[in-house]
Amino acid sequence: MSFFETNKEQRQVLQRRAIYTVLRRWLSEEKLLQALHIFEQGHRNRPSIAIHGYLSEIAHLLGDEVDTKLVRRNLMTVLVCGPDDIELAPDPLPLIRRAQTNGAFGEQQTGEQNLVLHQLISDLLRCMPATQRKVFHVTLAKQLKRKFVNGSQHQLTQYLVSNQPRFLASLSEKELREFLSLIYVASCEVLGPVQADQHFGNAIQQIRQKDPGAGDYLNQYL
Amino acid sequence: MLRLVLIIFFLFPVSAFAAVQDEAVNTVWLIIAAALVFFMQTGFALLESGMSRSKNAVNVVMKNYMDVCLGSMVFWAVGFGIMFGVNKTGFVGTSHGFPQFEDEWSYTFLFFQMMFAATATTIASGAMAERTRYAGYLLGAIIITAIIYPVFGSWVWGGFFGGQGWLAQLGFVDFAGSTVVHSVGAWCALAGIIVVGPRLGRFDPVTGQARTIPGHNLNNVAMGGFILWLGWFGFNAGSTLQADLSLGKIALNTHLAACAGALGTFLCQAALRKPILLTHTINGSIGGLVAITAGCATMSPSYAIVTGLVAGFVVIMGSYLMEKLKLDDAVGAVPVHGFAGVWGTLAAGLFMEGNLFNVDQLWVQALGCVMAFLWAFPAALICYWVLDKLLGLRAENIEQQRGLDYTEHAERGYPEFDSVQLHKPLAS
Repeated sequence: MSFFETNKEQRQVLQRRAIYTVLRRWLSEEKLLQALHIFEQGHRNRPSIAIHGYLSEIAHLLGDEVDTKLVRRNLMTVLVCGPDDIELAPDPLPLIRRAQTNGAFGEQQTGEQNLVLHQLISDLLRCMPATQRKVFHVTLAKQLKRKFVNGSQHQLTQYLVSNQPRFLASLSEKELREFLSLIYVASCEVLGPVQADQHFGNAIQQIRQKDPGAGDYLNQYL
Repeated sequence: MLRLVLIIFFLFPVSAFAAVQDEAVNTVWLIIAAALVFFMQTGFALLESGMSRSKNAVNVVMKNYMDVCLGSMVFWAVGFGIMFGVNKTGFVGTSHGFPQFEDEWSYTFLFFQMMFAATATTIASGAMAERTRYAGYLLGAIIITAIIYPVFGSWVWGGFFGGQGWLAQLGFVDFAGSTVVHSVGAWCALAGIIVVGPRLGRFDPVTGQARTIPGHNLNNVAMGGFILWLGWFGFNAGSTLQADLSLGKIALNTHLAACAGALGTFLCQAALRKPILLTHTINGSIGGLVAITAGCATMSPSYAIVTGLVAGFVVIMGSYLMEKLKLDDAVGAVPVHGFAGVWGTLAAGLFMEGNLFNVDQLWVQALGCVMAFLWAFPAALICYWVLDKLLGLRAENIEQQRGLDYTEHAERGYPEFDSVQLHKPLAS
């Protein structure tokens, strides 16, 4: 094992221990392991300085009440300045492995409601002229930043970038309704209110005609 | 029997009989005029709801309806005393709250003025349509009727029971209320527009250009325009407060100004090479009506035409100015009632019969217009701002998406013809 690899592994252990120790104040054991699982999946190879990306991804676990700035500050203090004043918990990797073996981190299922909503959003975006899509995304991004905090914003951004309905699965009905409303607002801004209403009306009508059951699902977001 | 009647007839003083008869005729005329002014609310309701989208039509009509209901009661209880009560300072009436009168005529006068107050209040409803919450709007309407409108009214028309308003003392002429009723209502509407913000998507975020949001029923708009025109005969001719020989000229001036207003918009749009829309034409004629309101009794018919014609231009140019300033007036209430009202008030000074183009009079008229703005606009701005902070005046985005008919009233104006299916089924 080279010097660099050893160093990298030590950094990952420190990061895991820091996350486990600092986040314990705000998260239950179950959520804490979920947060660590997310770290292992997509963030363990990143430098400590990039921890804010990780925090925004797990923000939905922290909830809206938690001051994410405080969490980030505490975590950065441990990661950058070193664990001088705080006693770090042991490496939680065995705990993560055990939870993984027990199937604690099963992917959230994409419900039929999410699929219907995804279809509606896709239809709406398809109606939009290619030249206006960029303006639409810029407008929407601004509003997402203003309306959503923590992880929801990250999830929705991921959804818009990837066009994968699975990113909608972890969001509450209220959040999804607000998201659709923001899409409507952005459509109004970009296309004008009359065209936006027409596109919305047509897309909803098509979904309802194809499948009345899907129309019922849609009602909860409108 | 015949002999008895003859004896009574000859014994009863003829002059007293004539006076009683005159008062009865005046009362009948004023009640008819008040009914015509009341009928204007129908015109406003049709015009404003027709100019809004179908998902907000019920909400607009409801606001007009409740303006009359709440406005009338509030004006009776508070506004009338402030406007017409004993006015020693010239700035505010201080008697006749919850009025009880000795004479019958005062009741007739109160009834007529009540309709004027409701008209001033309802101007804001159209301007702020399609994005304003019902409760917040109604509270604003109450404050306008109770305080903002009567205080300015007392400066011009005050002192019915003693004293005189300070603007009236200076010689300010506003016969039926171009400024007192229409401009004051429009400045309140302007304040409301600023606080509540534009409708979603009204202005392009990239170019900043205004987008047209067409109304759902132009037939209603036209019908509303005609009804307002009819009601205006009561509004202007009724302001004589008596059935006398001047009514004919007042009604004629009113009619000619409305015709000329429509022609003014036609010429203005043609000169600008823009399409001549029905909504603009109707707004032009209403602008003409607003403008002639101040001077309908004091100018000749030819000047009434000039006043109406210029008002048509003012309405169109005012609408473009509002769009340039990114102020979203859903029905064009500010150009029609505010800008045309200012022009009409100035025209009343300029074209006064026997005193044409008197600069001194013009200054007094201009002072009255400025004071109306300086009083009504900031007062309404504070009122709406406070309401916005306390209740939230602007409807949420999702409420605007669903339409205020559904979110504010759980009703739809056109449930069976609803092409925009944005809503859950209505609550049964």
